[in-house]
Amino acid sequence: MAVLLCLPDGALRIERLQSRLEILLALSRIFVAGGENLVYTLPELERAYSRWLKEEEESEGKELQSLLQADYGRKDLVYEFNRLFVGPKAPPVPPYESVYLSKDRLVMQESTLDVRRWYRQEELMPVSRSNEPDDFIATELEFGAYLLARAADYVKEQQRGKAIAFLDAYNAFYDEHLVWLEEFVRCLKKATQEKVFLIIGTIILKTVRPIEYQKGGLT
Amino acid sequence: MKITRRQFIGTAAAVTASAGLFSFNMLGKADKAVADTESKVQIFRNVCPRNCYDTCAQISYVEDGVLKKVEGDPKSTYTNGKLCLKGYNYTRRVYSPDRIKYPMKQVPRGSGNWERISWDEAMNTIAEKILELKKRYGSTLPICMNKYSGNFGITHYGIEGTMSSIGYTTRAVGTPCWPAGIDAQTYDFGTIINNDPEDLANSNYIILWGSNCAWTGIHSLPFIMKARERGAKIVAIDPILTSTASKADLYIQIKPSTDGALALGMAKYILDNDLVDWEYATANSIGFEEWVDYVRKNITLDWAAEKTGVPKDVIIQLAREYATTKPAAIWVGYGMQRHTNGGQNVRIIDALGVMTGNVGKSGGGVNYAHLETWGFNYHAMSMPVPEGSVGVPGPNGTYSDRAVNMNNFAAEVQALTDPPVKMLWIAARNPVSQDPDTNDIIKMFNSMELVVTVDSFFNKTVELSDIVLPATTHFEDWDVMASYWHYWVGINQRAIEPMYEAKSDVEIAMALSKAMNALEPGSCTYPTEGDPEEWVAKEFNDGIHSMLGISSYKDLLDGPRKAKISPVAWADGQFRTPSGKIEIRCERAAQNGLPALPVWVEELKTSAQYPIRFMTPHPQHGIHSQFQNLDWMMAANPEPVVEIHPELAAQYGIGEGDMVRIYNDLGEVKIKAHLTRTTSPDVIVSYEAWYKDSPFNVNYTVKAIPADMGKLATGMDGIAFHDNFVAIEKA
Repeated sequence: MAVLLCLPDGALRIERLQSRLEILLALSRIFVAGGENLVYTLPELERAYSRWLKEEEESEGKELQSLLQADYGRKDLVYEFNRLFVGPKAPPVPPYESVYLSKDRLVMQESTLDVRRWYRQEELMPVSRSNEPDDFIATELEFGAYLLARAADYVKEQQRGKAIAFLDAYNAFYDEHLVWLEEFVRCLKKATQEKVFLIIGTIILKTVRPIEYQKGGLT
Repeated sequence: MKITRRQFIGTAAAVTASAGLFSFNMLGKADKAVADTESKVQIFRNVCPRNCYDTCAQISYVEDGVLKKVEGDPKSTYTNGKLCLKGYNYTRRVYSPDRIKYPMKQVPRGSGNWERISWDEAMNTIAEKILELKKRYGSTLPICMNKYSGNFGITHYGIEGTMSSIGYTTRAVGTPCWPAGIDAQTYDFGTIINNDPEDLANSNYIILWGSNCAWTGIHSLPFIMKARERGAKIVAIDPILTSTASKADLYIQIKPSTDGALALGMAKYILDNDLVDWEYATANSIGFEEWVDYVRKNITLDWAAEKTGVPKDVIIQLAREYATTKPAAIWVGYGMQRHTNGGQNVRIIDALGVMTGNVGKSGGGVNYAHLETWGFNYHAMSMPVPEGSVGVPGPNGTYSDRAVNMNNFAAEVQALTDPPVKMLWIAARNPVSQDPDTNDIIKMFNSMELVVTVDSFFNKTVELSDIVLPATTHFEDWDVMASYWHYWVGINQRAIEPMYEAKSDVEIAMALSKAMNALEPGSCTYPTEGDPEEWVAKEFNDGIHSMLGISSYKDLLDGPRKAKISPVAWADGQFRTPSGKIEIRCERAAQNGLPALPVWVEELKTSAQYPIRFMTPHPQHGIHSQFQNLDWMMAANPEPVVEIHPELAAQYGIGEGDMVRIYNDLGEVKIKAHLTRTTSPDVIVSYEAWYKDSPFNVNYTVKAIPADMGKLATGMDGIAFHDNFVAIEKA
C-alpha cells in the first residue's frame, strides 16, 4: 500500500508523518515493555492506530474494533506474548531480524551488523538494560520512527531537502531491513490463535511500510 | 530514486545534532570508542568447559563485539588446532534464538505460564524464600543444591559457594559418571592418574576397553592412529560395535558387565603360559601372589568364554598379544563401570596391567582419568557460612551440610523430614533429563515450594522450575579450565559481552548476596561486587604456577600450558595407597564391604519379565543433554532411535522405523526402531540426550541401582546405568 505524504500542491503533510512515527513507536513499545506491560502499551497502540487510520482516511478497521474490545489485563496475554516472542522455551517467533533474513537463522548475523551500521551513521547505539541484538524488533522500529521524526522536524523547519533525505533513508532502511517484518508476521499468524497478537501482526503489515511522496513538488 | 544506507551517510552526519529531541527507549548516543572498533578482529583464548575428555583449547574470533568463529588452539598439542562437531557449533549455541534470555518466573510450576521478571525481583523472591525457610526451620538445610558437570570451569564452583554463603544446606553429593572406576583405581593405586593421552602414540598395543573415543574424545584418536602407523594393534572391547570399534584392528563384542571375566580369562592364560612380569608385580604390589592363586584355582578359559560370549581362541589371542607386545596400553572407558560390578571389573583390569608390567610405562598404563591439574584455590567456592548458622550437628558443637546421594536424588530428597527439603537450586545440571527414575524426579520437584534453575536453554528441568535465571556461555565469562584426561590447562577470556541479561554463576551469587543482605544484613557472606577477571585470578596459587611454569594467570593469555609432570602415571613407583604399593589385596576395600582381591563378582542378570538389557550410552551429537537441541544437530540427527538386532526385532514383529514401546516396572519410553547388527540380540541401545521439543528421555526406565563403588573418593556410589532391564513391544 503506497502512502502519499504530500498534498496536491506538493507540501508534505506533517500530520501523516507524525501518525506514522507514532505507530512505529507504539509498536516498538509493545516489545520494549513486553507481555507484562500490555495493559499500558496496547491502549497506546490503539490510540496510535486510530490516529493513523484517520490520517490515512481509512475506515475504522475490524482490527481496531477488536483491539478496543480486548481485555488488556488478561494474564494469558502475558503468557502468550512470552511463549511467542520471549521464552524461556524456544520462542516460535523470535523478534530479531537476522533469524528471518540470514541463511543461518541465528541472531547477531551480518544483517544485524548492517543494522548496527545504520545506527552508527546516526551516531546511535542500543543502550537498553538488556544486551539485545541490534536488530531486535523494538530497536529497529524505534530507529524507523526516529528517521521519520527527523524528517518531520525538517518539514516543520521547511527544509524540504533534508526532510526528503530522511524519508529516503527511512525507505532504504525499510527495504534493507524492516521488510523482515512481513516474514515475522507470517510466522506469527502460524504460531498463535490469540486475536490481540494477530491484530498486532495486521497493524505491522499495514503501517510499517515504505513512504511514497511526490519528490518533484518539493524541490 | 531509491537510496541505500551508504548513500545516506553524508546527509545524516550533518544533522545529528537535533537527535536529542526524539524520545528514545532502546537507542542512545553512540560511544565513539566502541564504534571505532567496527572493523578490528579481536582474538581471545577460550576453553570448552563441558564434561568431556578433551576440554579443548579454543581460539575465538570476535569482530565488532560479535563472535564470528571458534577454532581449536594449535598451541595445545592435544587439541592441535581442531575441534569436534560440537565445538565447531559454538557460534550456533551462543547465537541460537532459543537461548534463555531473561530471568523468568512460572506460575504455577510446569504450567508454561511464564512471566519475565527483573533480576532484582528474581533475587528478592529467592532471598525472601531462603530467609523465610531459615526462620521457619531454624536453618538453611531445607535449601538443596544440585550442581554438577554442565560447566566444569573452576569459577563455576561458585555455585557451591552460593550455598555456603547462606548457611549449611542440603547438597547433592557424588557423581553420576565415573565414581566406581575412580574408587577401583583409588583402592589399587591410591588415586586416579592416567598417562598423558599423547603418550598413546608410544604404545605398541592399545586396548580401548569400553571407550568410544571416536564420539567422546576424538582428539585422542590421532595419537592412537600414530601408534598404529608404527605398527601398533588397536583392539576395541565393547558390547556395541561403535564408531571406535569400526576403526580397530580387532573388535571383541563382549556381554555387558562381564569385562572382569574377560580380564580374568586373560590373566589365566598369561599365568599358564608364563607371561607374567613377576619382577614388576612383586616389587610394586602387595597381595599379588594371593590373587594369582585365586586365578589359578578358580578361573578357566572355558568359563571366561561362556561368561563373556568371547570365543576362547579370541581370549587366548588377546591375552598373548597384550602380555607380549610391550608397551601395551589400556584405556578404560566410563561405560564399563556403570554396573553393579563395574568397579570390581576395573580392579581386575588394573591387576592385568600390573601382572604384565604395563603400569608405570610410557606407551602403557591402565588409563582411566586424573585430577592432577585441578589444584586451584576454589576461591569462588570457599565461602564461610554466616555467623550463627546451624546445620547437621557434628562433634564439639560443629555443624555441617547435609548430603544426599546425587545418584538417588529423588528418593533421598523426599525421604528427608527433619527438616524437609523445600527449595531446590539447580545449576550446571539437568536432573529431570539425566537422573534415573524420571517419574520420581518429577514427583520430587512437585513437592517443592521453590525451584530455581540456572541454564542457557529450556530443558526438562527448566520446564519444572518456578524461576529460571539465564546463564552465560563460556564466551561471555572469565574462567580457567583443566581436563580430567589430558594435561593442559587454559584460561577462558570473556570474548563477548553477555547476551540479553545472562549472568555467570559468580555474578548470580553476588546478586543474591546483595538481595539477602539488603533484607537481612549478615545473612549471606558472598561478596556483592567483583570483577570477573579478578575472580579468576584468585583461583591461582604457587602450586598451579609451578606446575604450569607460569608466574601469573596472565601468562595463559599467550596459550594454554601443559602441566610439568611426568607423562607416565606411576613411573616413579610411588603409589598413593596406605602401603605405598599397588594394593592387589586392598584392606580398605575389604573394610568397605568389598572383596579385598580383584576377584569375579557376578553381574546383574535380566529377569524373565524384563529379558532385555537397555543400554543408554553417550550420544554422538551432544554431551548428555547439551548440544543435541541445536539446529544443526537437530538437522543431522532429528530424532532418537533405539538400535535393535534384527533377530530380536523379528521376535517382536518390529520392523525398521516402527515405534517401539520399551518398558519396565518404573516407566516407559517410545522410540523409533533402527535395526542393526552393531548390537547383540539381547541388548538394545538408545543414546541419552535431550532433543528440542521432544519428550524423549531414556531415564524413565532407569532405576537408581547403585554401582559397587564410588563412596571412597566421591562420597557416593555410582549408578549402574547399564544394568537397566526392560521388555519391549511394537507400539
